[in-house]
Amino acid sequence: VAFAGAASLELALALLVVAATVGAYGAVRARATAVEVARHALLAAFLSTVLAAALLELSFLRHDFSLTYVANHASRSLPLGYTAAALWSGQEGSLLFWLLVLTGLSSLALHLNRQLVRRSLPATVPVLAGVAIFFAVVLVFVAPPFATQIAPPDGRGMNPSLQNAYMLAHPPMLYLGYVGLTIPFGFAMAALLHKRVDERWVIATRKWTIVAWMFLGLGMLLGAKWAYEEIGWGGYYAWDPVENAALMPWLAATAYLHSVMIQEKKNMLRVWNVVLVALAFSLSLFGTFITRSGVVNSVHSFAQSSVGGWFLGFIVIAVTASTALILVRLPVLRGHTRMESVVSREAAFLYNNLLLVGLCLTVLWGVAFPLVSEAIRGEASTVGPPYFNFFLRVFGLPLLVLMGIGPLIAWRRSSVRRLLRTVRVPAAAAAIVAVALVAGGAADKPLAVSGYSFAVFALTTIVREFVIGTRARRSATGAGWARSATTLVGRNRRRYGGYLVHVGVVMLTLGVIGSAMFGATKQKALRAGETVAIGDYTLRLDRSYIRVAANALQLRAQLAVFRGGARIGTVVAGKNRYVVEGETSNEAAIRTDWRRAEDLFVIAEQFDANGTVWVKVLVNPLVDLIWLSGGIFLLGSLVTLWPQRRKPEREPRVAEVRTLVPAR
Amino acid sequence: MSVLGPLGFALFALTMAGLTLLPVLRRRDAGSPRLDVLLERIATRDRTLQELRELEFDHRAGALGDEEYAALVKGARREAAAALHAVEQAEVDLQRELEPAP
Repeated sequence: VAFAGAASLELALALLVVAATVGAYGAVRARATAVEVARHALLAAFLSTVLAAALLELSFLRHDFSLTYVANHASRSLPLGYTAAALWSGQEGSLLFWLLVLTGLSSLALHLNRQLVRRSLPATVPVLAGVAIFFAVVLVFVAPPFATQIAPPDGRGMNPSLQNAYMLAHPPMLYLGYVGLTIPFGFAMAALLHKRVDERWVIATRKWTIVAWMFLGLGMLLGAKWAYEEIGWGGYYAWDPVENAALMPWLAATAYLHSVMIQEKKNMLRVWNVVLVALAFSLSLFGTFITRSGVVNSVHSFAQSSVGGWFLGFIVIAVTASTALILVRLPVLRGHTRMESVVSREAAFLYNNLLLVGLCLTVLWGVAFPLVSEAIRGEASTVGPPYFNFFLRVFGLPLLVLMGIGPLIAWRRSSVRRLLRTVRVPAAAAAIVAVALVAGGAADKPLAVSGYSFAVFALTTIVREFVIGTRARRSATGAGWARSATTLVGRNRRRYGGYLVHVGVVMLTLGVIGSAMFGATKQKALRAGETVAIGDYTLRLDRSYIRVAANALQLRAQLAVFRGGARIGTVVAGKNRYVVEGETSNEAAIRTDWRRAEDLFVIAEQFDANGTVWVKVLVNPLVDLIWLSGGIFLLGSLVTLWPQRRKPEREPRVAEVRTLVPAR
Repeated sequence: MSVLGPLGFALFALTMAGLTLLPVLRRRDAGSPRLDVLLERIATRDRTLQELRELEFDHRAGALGDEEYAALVKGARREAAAALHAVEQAEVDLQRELEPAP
């Protein structure tokens, strides 16, 4: 297995070199056969990587501890699901998984766009192969997953924090997101190399960007859920550098997904779009560097090794090369279309982009500052949550308002008078919410009041858009409300899928503000029979005990939960002591009230020998809206991605235009 | 180590080499600059027609008044017509290139 695994990675590297060199030759000399050979070489490299990944997975399932990587990340007592997922639990396996996804997505994207690639953008093949070569080189020479040793009787097991169901899906989702951003980067760079900077590369990669962005977003949400359940401090996002590492490319990709519509519709922002694509790709590399290098202190720094320098070098090459290419191609990138008015949908998209990129860059500075500080002054400093929270408010609140205003403004040009007239209803809804919150006692929380008002403003706009669109459709076709609503969405999936994603963002906002600003916390040492009260809950410790599981000793505290004097359930919180790994993890108890979207969160912080259990209890209002927003986000993304049927009315419309303005 | 391992891998490597060289057996044309121009103009045509649809939708949904719509749709129709004309011209140019010289 070790021989075949290492050889298949070397074969993949060789094939990628063929893809890059033959592809570059084909692109420069306009040789279609060479481009096709390069494309096939990339596909063969993918199949070789599949073989390598399958062999490593097989080694995990067979507990082949003669492979150092397997011995370091699995044990005989590790449950089957975690053993299978151990492939991406460490450095070498993660990089192998990355190469697998990168070559797979690249091959698929090149196959689906093979006509465009062969005729117009052949340089896409060598660019994508070039990125894959970096990962293959690291896997073959720096972090080989098939290194062998004398097999120990048992492995060292998996980091206990990773032994959580969400960790089965969280890393692959993030990788799909990170790697997916390479596809638009490859096409964009090829468009620049060939000076074919029209919107064809944008159209070819639009859905790829949405897929990458969707996986990145879902990966972050799953990571937040994992942190919420597994780290056990009652929160879900701590502005940890590794969490921010995923947030930054997501923000850049979000900005791109908005601005790219302007290029498609108006042929504007062409420079800005290639900058955003390059930024998102570079940030995905930077995110991997942060996660894998161990240069920052993070709860997620599970693997620290020597690949950091390699990543840094590759980031420098990627940023320098893409920046130079953009600068060289500025004359052809600059469009002739100008924005007609600062009160237009194009302008709203631009403001939205500036805010998203502003937030992205401030997060980047917060992540990079400790590194820069250490490099320059020799002393490490940290940037804490207050910094990030401040900028989240500065950029996030106006973004909410723009999310509401955007759909109300017409393309090209609108007037302030018309805009004020169309925002009347959403503004009134926002004002009602603000007044109700202040009257309800939230006057001392202006941030919560403004956040909720703006969220309701945006939500009302979206509802209004659906209602008006459905009504217009109904009057045009005479169909019923339900049929009109579904055909409305079906005929413009991108627009209404986008609105659904906005609903998810509103839910996320409500959840974050609710849990962060209206929650409660209490800590107390309890003996059996004693109680702790928080909000309208009372908890009574019934008993504490130890249980022996397959891979851990489980210390548990069982508490009865009462509300309004009535018993409403039981929660069991505790700790797991992992014997093989020699580590302890928190196993918080979470009782969800779906009607209130509220969690009762119980942490058993300490078990004393005399039976006393130190508990920390939190009430997290509306926190479940955060997880539900993931479902809406996914639904909206899928609606957007669903293939649009060809419109039969295209030809009559062309004929109509011909009649109106005779062709010269 | 069993000899089957290296042999099996050698077979796999040969298959991958065959897959890579497969396009050599079926050569393809790279296309022409005129074809590229045509494809670019088709993309522009689609964009301008989509813009017309958006204007119409905004007008129907009330985001655009009658006067604003009339002013904007005039320019958009002109752009769409020019894009259609450009596509037709590119088609003619490509056809000329493809036809053998008399």
